[in-house]
Amino acid sequence: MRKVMLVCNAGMSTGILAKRIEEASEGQLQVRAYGEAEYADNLDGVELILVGPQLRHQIPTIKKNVTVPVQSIPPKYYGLMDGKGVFKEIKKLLEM
Amino acid sequence: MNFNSISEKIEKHILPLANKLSSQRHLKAIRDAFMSLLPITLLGGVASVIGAAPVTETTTNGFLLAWAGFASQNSLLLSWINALTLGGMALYICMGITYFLSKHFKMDVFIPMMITMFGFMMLVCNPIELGWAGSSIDISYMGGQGLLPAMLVAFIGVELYHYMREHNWGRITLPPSVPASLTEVFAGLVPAFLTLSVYVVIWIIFNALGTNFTAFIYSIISPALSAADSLGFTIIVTLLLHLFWFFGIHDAAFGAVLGPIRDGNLSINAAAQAAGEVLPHVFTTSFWVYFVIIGGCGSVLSLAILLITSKSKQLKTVGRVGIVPAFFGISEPIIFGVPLMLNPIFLIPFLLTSTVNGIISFLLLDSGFIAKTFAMLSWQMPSVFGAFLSTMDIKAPILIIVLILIDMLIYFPFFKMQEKQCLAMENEETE
Repeated sequence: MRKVMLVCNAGMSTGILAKRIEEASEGQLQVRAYGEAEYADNLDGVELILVGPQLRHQIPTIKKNVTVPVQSIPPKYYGLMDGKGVFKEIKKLLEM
Repeated sequence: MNFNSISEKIEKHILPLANKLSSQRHLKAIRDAFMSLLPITLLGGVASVIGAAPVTETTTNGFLLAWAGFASQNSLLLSWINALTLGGMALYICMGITYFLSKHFKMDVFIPMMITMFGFMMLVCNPIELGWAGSSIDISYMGGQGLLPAMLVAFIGVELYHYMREHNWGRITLPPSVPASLTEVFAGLVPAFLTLSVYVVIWIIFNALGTNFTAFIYSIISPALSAADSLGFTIIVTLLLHLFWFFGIHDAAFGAVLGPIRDGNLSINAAAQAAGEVLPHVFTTSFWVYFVIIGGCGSVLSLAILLITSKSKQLKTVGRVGIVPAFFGISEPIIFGVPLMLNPIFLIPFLLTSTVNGIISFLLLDSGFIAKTFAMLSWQMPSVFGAFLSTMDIKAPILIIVLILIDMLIYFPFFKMQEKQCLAMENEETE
């Protein structure tokens, strides 16, 4: 199972999305949501970091701290908590 | 110039600004420290609520009387919990900042923590009697009044210690045969000793002036703090934060400034409540979370209710996805789903709803018509319950329901405009 991390302010709203992406991936992905204060401690095995649009201004800083790709979640997927839509994006990014 | 090019220009400036505010190490440490306070404020909130049984001289309800009896029998315990939670907030903030700042420097946190805890006890607490038979210290500055001094203690300690370690000041070098852990202890010995001494010197200076560090700092900042507890400040802050959210940027960037003010005022109110005094502050964390932003920033719970009744399929879907999170104060699905972000139709109601909530609530709490807040349960507690539990005033949840109705009225015409657009697009697709 490949690991993807979602980051938002406290891991609250991305928490809802993380569950939906996992469901959409049917066991291919492990998706965990973390707050901005704690993401750096949980990078083990993570291949991709997706950032909530409300924290997109932090992407330059997050990029400096990690070695994996960092992307913003498109707002329209985020608003609809569209796990399938984000999973499609992830498949492209991870070349699955 | 049209709306899009203006908003693009503003976004180009606002994103780097937000990033700077969020990444600056001291501001970030303060923000993360306040965010980590939640278990402490929750326990304090529970103790405060238990201690505030809603009884009057005419109460005859058996349950309420039993509750009041329990509270008075256990008043020592409840006050003690209160003093160590909401009333001890500065201690945990000092620890939190030490932790997050050390982490930023990728420095082991134990020695810095020891240093700043010494500084905290030395400068924020005051000795009364240090005798053989017993010792007592004054901890009255450990709450809201001591927040800024505690933050300074943490910054001074971590920054000084880190600076000296980085520059190998006073590094005691041991022969290579000595185990690494011991080498580390000795390498930090002189920097730690010097940093501790700085606190001692500060104490000596203020003591010679006939005051103490914490009382002095508090006397300087208290005019600014009372100015912050005003209707004008509430309006400005609400507008500013919502302007950021209109660009889809989280308001956490302001947490370093607002956290100390909101939580500090809450801590002072909680202490007043425990002591049976009049509550001095309106603008607290619970005021903000439960009374101003009903359903998260943008007060979107009202809009979510309108959305689920919409004839537009798209808006109805967004409403269904977003209404439950909004009930628990999470507004992102609605903000990004409708979207409200960068949507000129919604600029006015998005800024206006929370501001109106803020103005009405401020006036009603300030005048004493509704009791002021003294507890904070959770950011995710729905406003109706949070407003009641944080004030123990039955008029508070009624106010929240009225405010949701007012917010619905404000959103309604703009919601209809958006709906018309969506319906037109949906009809085009089906034709």
